[in-house]
Amino acid sequence: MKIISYLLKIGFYISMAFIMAGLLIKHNIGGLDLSTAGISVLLFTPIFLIFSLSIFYLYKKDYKKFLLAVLLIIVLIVNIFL
Amino acid sequence: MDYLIVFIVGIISSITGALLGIGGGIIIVPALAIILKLPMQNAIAVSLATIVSTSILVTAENVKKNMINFDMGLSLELTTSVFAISASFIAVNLSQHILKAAFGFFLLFIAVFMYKKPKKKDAPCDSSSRYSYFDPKLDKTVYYNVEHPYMAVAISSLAGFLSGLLGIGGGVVKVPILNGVCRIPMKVASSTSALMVGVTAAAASFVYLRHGYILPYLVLFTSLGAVFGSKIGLYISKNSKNETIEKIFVVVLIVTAVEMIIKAFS
Repeated sequence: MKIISYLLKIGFYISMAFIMAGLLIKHNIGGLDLSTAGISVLLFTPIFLIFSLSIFYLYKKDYKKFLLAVLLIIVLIVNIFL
Repeated sequence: MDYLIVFIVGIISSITGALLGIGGGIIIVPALAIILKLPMQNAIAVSLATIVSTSILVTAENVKKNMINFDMGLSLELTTSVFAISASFIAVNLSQHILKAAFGFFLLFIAVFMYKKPKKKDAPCDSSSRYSYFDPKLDKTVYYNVEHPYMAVAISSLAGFLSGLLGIGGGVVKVPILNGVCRIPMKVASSTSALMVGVTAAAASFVYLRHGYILPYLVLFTSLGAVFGSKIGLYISKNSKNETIEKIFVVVLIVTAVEMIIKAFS
C-alpha cells in the first residue's frame, strides 16, 4: 500500500510538471501539447490506482474485490474511447 | 491576474474543505463562472480536474494509514462512475442558463443541509465485526460492519450524476451515505469518499477533456492553491471553532446561489 501511495504522489507531481512545462515552453513538442499531456496524466492516475489495487487483490487472492476493480477499469477505459 | 485569482480560489476551496468538509466544486465552479465569467462547462471541467488532483494527494495519505474501505469504495464507485459519465455527456450539451440554474438550486440545497446538519453516527465497537482500522487518536482498533450496501449504491449513483452534471466532487452526498446509511465510522467514511470523489471526477473529466473544456493552466493554479490551502485549513481547524465559520459560509452560499439563479434567468 505504501508503494501505491508513492506512485499516486509521483503521478500528481508529473502531471503538474507537464502543465507547468506547457505554460513555460508554450509550443508543442513533436505534436504533443504538454499541458494537455499533463491533464491526461492527472486523469489517468486514479485509473492507475484502481489498476494497482486489482493487482494487489489478485496477489491476495481476493477475487471479489479483484473483479470489482477490473469492472471499474473497464468502465473507465470504455469511457475514454466513447 | 487570472492565475492569481484561481490560485486564491484553490486556497479558499481547500480551507473550507478542511474546516467544514465542503469545498472543491461548490467553491470553484461559482468562483470561475462569476468572477472570471467562464462558461459553465469550462468552470465545471476545471473544477473536476482540480478535484482529481486533491483527491490523489488525500488518498495517497489515507492509503498509508489503512483508513479506506476499498470493498465499499469499489462497489459504490462502479455505478457512481457510470452515472457521472452519463451526466457529463448531458452537461456538455446543456445551455449555460440551465446549468447555472441547476447549480444555484444545488447551492441552496447545500446551504439548508449545512444549516440542519445531520448528526455523525459511529458504529458500536465489536471485535467480531468484519472491518477494522486503527484510530491513533483513540489509540485502539475500531471494528465496524457495513449496513444497507444496496441503498448506498442507489444514493451514491445520484452523487455521481450530480458530480458529472455540476462539477462537484459529491463528498457532500457520499460522506453522509457512508456514515449515516452504511454506519461506517466518520474517519473511514471521509477517507473512502475522498478516493471515490477522485475516480468519479476523473471519469467525468474525460468527457469534458474530449470536448476541449478543460483549461490546464487554471487546473494547475487551482490545484497548487488547494495543496497550499489544505495546510492552512488544517492549522485553522486546530485553532478555531467551526460554528461561526459555518454560519458565514451558509450566508455566502445563499448569496452565491441567488446570484447564479438570477444570472440564469436574466
